[in-house]
Amino acid sequence: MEGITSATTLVMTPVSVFVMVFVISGLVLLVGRFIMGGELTYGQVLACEGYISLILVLQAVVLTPIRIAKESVLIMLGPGLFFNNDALTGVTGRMLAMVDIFVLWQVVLGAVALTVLTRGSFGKALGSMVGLWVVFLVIFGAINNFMGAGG
Amino acid sequence: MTQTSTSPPPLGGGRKLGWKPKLLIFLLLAGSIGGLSWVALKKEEPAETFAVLAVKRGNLVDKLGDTGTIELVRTV
Repeated sequence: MEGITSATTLVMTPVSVFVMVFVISGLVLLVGRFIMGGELTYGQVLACEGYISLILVLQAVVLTPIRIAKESVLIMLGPGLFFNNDALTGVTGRMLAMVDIFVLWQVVLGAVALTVLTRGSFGKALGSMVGLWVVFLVIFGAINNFMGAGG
Repeated sequence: MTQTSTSPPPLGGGRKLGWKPKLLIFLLLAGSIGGLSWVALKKEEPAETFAVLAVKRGNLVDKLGDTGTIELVRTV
C-alpha cells in the first residue's frame, strides 16, 4: 500500500506542476483583462508563466539537500520556519506554512509580466498578484486543514 | 494638418534597470534564500514528549496463607 502511495506521489507531483502552470496562466489572464484592463492573450501569459515556473528548478536545487538532511519533505523557506510545528495547525497556520520565498519571487515576476503585457502600473499588478496568491493560500490552507483533520 | 500617433507604447515601456538595482535584487534574494536555508538546517526538531506518572507502591498485599491438597470437584 505504501508503495502505491509513493508511486502516486511521484507521478502526481510533476503532473500537478504542469497542470498548475496552465491553470495559473488562466487566472493571471483574468486578472490582466478584468482588473488591469489589458489586451493580452492566453498564449502571452502562458509563455510568461512558463519562464516564471523555471524558478521551481532553483527551488528544487536549494530545497532537495535540505529535505534530505532533515528527512522531511514538509520544509518550505518561509516564515513557517520560525514557528513550532504545533503552531502551524488550523487554516491560518497551514497558510503560513505554505508561504515560501520562491513563490513570492514568482508572484513578483508575475506582476512584472502583467505590467509589461498590459502596459499598466506595477503597483496595481503587484496588488492583484498578491491578492490572487492570498486566495490561493486560503483555498489550499483550508483543503490541507480539512485533509489533515480528516486523516 | 498634423497627424498624432495613437499607437500604444512598446511592451515594457522602454525602461531598463541599471546594474545597481539588479545587484541589489540579486543580493536580497540570495541573502534571503541563504539565510532561510541556514535556519531550516539549524532548526531543532522538538523531542517527542510523553505523559509520565510516578509509580508508587500501594499498601495492598495479596498473600497466599493456606496450604492444602487439590481435590477434584466432580469425579466422572
